[in-house]
Amino acid sequence: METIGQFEQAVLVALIRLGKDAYGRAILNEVQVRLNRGVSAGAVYATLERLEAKGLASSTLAPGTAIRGGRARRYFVPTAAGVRALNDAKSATDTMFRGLAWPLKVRT
Amino acid sequence: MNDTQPSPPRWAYALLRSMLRPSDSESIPGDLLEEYREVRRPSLGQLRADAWYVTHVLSVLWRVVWPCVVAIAALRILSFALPPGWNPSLVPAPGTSVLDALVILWAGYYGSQRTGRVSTGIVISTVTSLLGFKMFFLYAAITRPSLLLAPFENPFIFVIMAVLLGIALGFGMTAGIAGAAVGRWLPPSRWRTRIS
Repeated sequence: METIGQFEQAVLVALIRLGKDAYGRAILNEVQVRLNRGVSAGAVYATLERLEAKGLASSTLAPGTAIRGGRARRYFVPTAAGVRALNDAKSATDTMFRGLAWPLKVRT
Repeated sequence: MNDTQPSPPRWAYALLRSMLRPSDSESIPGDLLEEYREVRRPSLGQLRADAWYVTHVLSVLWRVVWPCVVAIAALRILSFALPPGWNPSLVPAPGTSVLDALVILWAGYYGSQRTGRVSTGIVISTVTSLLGFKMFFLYAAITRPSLLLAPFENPFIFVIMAVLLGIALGFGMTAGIAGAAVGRWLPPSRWRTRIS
């Protein structure tokens, strides 16, 4: 079972949410919105590279638009292993919190 | 970037491209350029949009250069803690010792192995050399803060510092070119994961 960190989970979830529109800029914006904080491009591209190296995501190049000077877009999709890793991560989190009254309260 | 639409600073664009694998050299600059032109420039204006672009380029640079910065910082801590003379300087300037040369050679090698580009190795080794040089001043600021005021009493010290910085950067670039050349011509390592 491939374990993935929180940021990797955020990026993989962004790939699933964006579907066929998951390219670098859209992923960066989606991750920032979902995590509700600023995220650097370097962090997102390094994570995408790591996910590809782990076999959890794959990418293909597609032609670019005029506003980006014709530069190609790289579209990402989660692989079956990536979806499994995300399911496992969610399941582990659910198991960890199971049985606790939500939201948690501070004991005084 | 030779079209007529607003464009980010050329140096930042060149720096970004020098950090990327050939497989990413269109897509990542394209993503940042698209966001710059479509959102940042219209809403922030040129100065702040350029700052936004440079910040993201530096974040990409940091992801590549951080192991080298850690290595040079570890070397500095080690060299400050040990008696003088154990790590002789190859050139009479700070940041030009035998071990500095080895770290910078490795930085050049690592950079060019990572992307397959000699330019990455040269940029990384120069940045490593620059930060290694700056660490001497950080050390001085911590241990003898009065030294930092000396140049303001005798401005010629600024000239000496600039010359020393030039020597250190020249040293770093030379060692980096050697490391990058070795890294470029050896087979790709595990760092270069994507081929196409």
